[in-house]
Amino acid sequence: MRPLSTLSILVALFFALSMTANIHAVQRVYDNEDFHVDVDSANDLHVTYFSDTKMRLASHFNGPFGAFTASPADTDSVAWICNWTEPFYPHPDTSADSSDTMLYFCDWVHVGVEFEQQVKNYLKKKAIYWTFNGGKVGTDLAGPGFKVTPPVSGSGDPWTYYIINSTSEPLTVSRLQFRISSSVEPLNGMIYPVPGFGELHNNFTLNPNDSVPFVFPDPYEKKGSARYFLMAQGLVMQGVDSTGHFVQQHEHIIEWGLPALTNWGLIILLALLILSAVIVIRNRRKGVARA
Amino acid sequence: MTRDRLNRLLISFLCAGSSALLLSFTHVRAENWWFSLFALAPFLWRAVEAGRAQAAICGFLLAISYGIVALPVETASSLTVQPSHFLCLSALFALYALVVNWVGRRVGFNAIFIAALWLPLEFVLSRYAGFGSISSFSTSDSSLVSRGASLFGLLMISFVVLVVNSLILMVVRYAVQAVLSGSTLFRENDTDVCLYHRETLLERPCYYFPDRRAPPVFMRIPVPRTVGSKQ
Repeated sequence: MRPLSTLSILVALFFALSMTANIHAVQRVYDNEDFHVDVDSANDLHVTYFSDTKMRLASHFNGPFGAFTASPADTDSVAWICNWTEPFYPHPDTSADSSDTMLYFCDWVHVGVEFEQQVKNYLKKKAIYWTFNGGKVGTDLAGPGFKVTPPVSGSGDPWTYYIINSTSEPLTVSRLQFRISSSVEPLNGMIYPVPGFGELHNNFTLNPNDSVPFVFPDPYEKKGSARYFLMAQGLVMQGVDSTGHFVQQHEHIIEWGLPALTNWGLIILLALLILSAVIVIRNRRKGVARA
Repeated sequence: MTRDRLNRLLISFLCAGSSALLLSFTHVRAENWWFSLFALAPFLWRAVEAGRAQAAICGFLLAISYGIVALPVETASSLTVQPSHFLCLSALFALYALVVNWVGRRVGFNAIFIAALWLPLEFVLSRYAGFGSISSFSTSDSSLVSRGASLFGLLMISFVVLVVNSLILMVVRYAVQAVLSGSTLFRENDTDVCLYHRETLLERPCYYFPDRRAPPVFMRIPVPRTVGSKQ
């Protein structure tokens, strides 16, 4: 096959990809670090998100973060503002005088997590922003991290879900719960324990760089492109004298198993193969005719 | 082992090893994905150009060298799993190299066919061998590649990567032929083999004289007649 003809096929393929990719982007969740978090005096969390694709943001925040409302900051701008107004929760351990110990609700704002299962066997986190006692902390992940090891050899193996203390101080973790679900279910506030969640892990110390594994049975069930949602919530106390706690509650969106070959891919592949076969046969016939 | 066979083995080793090394670069960081666009070119060159045995050896060597790097730690550390993984991987790569070699002899070097033949291998490796996709890189960013993967499937990414590998190989082969070596042997008739020396780009500035007037360089090399051959 001549290089030029193959190159032209590739160029055509590239343009087809370019045209269709933006349409398809709506259905997926991507990592993007182009946003920042602000907390106002009423402890409302404001996430400003800069994206070149408005639909991507809308599909993102309207799904797992049900409490978020996404709206464009400016009709002609790419900046979108997401507001979440749910600032206070009573301290679960001191519910008797909850009026005095209202906690600032500090939430992990987690945007875009998915498996890199084709290349690396770990869950990649990006753009995790969190607040502490109502203040802006920043973009560096200084709280407990999470790590997921997908099954090595396909279906049948359990997944291990770790909570890791990536800080330099011991953390006291309480009311930690994990859940795995195949559907998006926004949390309706922080309830302890949450119905449908797994076992409640209460009051344990997590030293720096230590991790606690939680094993789930493999939910994959040989479904090609199923999406599963891992969720962890609980309270983490940082330091004994710390007056505040932060609640972490985030949802991992896992697109486990990108399709091996979609119908469109199969059609293009078959078309290229047939085209190549025709070219080869024609060249052979020409060669025979010349001889 | 003769010196000639040793040299061939060494070339196979170099080709397979360089391919494995380049493939391993793609796994170090997700940003290195572009290494995979030309990582398999040395292996493909050897698989197509060499004989069947050398092609299979090249596939075997690539499987060994790549497997050492790419096997997950927990798999590699397991003494029971490791040999079976290496065995499957070696057999698959050797089989692929053999099929590519056979196709190359039948229909010539065809980028589409070579890439299409890769897909079953890739599927088996990622689904059953625990290696993950070799040529499709990180799908966690919002790049065009990841969107394409979700639209057409991961195998199509591998397909495009293999086509690019093959095209790069074709361009390099053409460049080498055009610039360095333009001599070809062909059989003129039953008895004579002719050496046709085509002027190369490298020779042009060195040996070409503006006022040269002569037929193309054409040498006739008489083939030694064997006993009993017809006059």
